[in-house]
Amino acid sequence: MTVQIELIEKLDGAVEATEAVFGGTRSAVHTAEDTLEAVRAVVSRDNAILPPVTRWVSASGRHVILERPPMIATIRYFGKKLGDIDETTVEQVYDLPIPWMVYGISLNDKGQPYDVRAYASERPIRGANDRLYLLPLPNYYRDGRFCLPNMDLSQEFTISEGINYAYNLVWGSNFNMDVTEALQRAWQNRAPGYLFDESRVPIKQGSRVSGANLYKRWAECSLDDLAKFSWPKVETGGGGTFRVGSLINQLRNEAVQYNANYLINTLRARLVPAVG
Amino acid sequence: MKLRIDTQTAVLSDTEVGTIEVSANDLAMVFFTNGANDLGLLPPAVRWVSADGLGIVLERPPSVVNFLVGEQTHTVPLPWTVWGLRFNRMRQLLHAHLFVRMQPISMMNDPLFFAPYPVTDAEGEAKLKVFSEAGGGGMPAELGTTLLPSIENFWQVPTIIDALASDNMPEEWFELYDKSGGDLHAYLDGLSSISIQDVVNTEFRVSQKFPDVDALFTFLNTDAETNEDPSPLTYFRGLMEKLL
Repeated sequence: MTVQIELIEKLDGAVEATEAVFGGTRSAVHTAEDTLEAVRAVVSRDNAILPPVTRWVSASGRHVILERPPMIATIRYFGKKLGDIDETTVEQVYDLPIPWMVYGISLNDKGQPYDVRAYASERPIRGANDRLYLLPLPNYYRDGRFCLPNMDLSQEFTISEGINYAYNLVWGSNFNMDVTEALQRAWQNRAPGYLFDESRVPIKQGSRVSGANLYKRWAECSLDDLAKFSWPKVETGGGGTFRVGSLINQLRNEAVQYNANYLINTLRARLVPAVG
Repeated sequence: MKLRIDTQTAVLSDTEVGTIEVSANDLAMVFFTNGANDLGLLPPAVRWVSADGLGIVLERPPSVVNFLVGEQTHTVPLPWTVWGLRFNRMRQLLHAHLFVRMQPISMMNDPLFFAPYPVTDAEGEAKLKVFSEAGGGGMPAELGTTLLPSIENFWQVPTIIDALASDNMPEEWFELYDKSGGDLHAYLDGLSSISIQDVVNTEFRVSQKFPDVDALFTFLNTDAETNEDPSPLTYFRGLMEKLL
C-alpha cells in the first residue's frame, strides 16, 4: 500500500497535512509560518567551525573529507574475535607509523558518525585523481570502511565534535578480529611489499592471516620507511583505481540518500505528528 | 495548491500541475544546496562554509609574504591570517575581509584582530579589484579550486594606508608607521625586520566591526538569510522547479 502525506494549502494560507493510515486518515493543520519553519528546520545547517584540513564538505555539512599528516599511532590489538576475548587474552600494543591519511566521515542529524572510511595516501591531496589505498588493519573492510564500535546514542554533537569523535573512534578503539577484510587483502596481495619482504624476517606464505607478526614488523619501521611501502589497493567492485574523486562521489551520494530519508522522515514527523 | 509526498517511494509530486514529480533524493539535493553547487575539493585552509556554500572562511598559518610595490619587493612576516570571502551565485567574489590571529580558530567567540598591513580598510575589507582580477573572467566549475589563488594574489599591490592608525595597531607597529612618515616602502621595510615569532607574539588590536569569529560568520551568512517566502508550498514548488 502506498503511504502518502498530502499537503493542501487552504484559503487562509494554512496548510493541512494528511496521511492515510489503517482505517482512515490522520491530519493536522498548521499555519503557513509553522509549515515553512518545519520545512526549513529540516535543512537548517550547523554552521560550525570545521576542523583544520577539511578537504571536502557536503552541502548539509554532515559529510566531510578530512586529511591528516603522517603520525605514529598507538593501537591496542586483540588477536581474536570480540566474543572470544576474555581475561586470558593478551592485549598487544603497537606503535605504527601511519602515512598521510584521508578520512571520509558521515554524521547523522545528531552529529553522530554512522559511516567512517579511512585511506592511506602517498602525499597531501593535490587533486581528485590522487590514488587512495587501504591500511592492513583489522576492523576494516576492503572498501575502506571502518567497523565502528558501539556508540552512546544519547550523545549529540556539533559537526566539529562529531568529526573529532569519529577520528578518535578509529584510532582509540580496540582492534580485534571481527572484521578482517583489509587484513586478508594485504596478505593475499603481499602488500605492503616492504613488510612482506622475505629477505627480512620471513612472513611465510602459508601462515595464518593474523595481524600480530605483520604489526611487529610494521612497528619496527620509521615514518621515513613509509616511502618504501606500497599499500594494498581498495576494492572498488569494478576493478578500477580508487581515487580522491571516487571518495568524493561516494560521500556525495551518501549525503543525498541520507538527506532524502531525513527530509521525508522529518517532514512526516513534524507535519503529521500523531503518525510520525 | 496541493503537494503529495509518497513516504514509501519518497517521491514528491505537485498534484495541481500534475507534471512536476521529483524523487526525494533530487529534492534533498536542492534543499540542502539551496541552489549552490558543490564546492569541490577544498584547499587545506577552509574553516567554515556558510549555509548556501557561498560564504567561506579560510585560515592560513604564519608565513612570509612578498609585497610588490612598484619595482620593489618587500618580504614581510604574517601571523595566522583569517579570510572571510563572500561569493555570488556566479561564484564571483563580492567582498573579502582579512584579519590576523596569534593561533588557529577553535571557538566561535575567538577574537579577530585588525591586520595592520596596507591592504585593507579600517573594517578589514580588502581591495576587491585585486581579487576580481585574480579570479579570472569565467565561472569556475568548482569554487574550492579558486580559493587559494585568490588570496595568494591578494598581496601583490598594497595601497591602502589610510586605515593604519594608532587605535587599531599594536603600539610598536604604529611607531614604525609613524617613523615612516606614511611612506609605504619605509613601513614595509620596518615590518620586514620583524621575525615571524615576534609577529605571532604581537598583541594586535581587536577588530571593531568583527570582534570575534561569530560576528564574521553572521556577516558572511547574511545573504543566505534573505530567501523569504510566505507560502511553504510555493517554497516547495520553487525548489522543485529548480530541478526541471
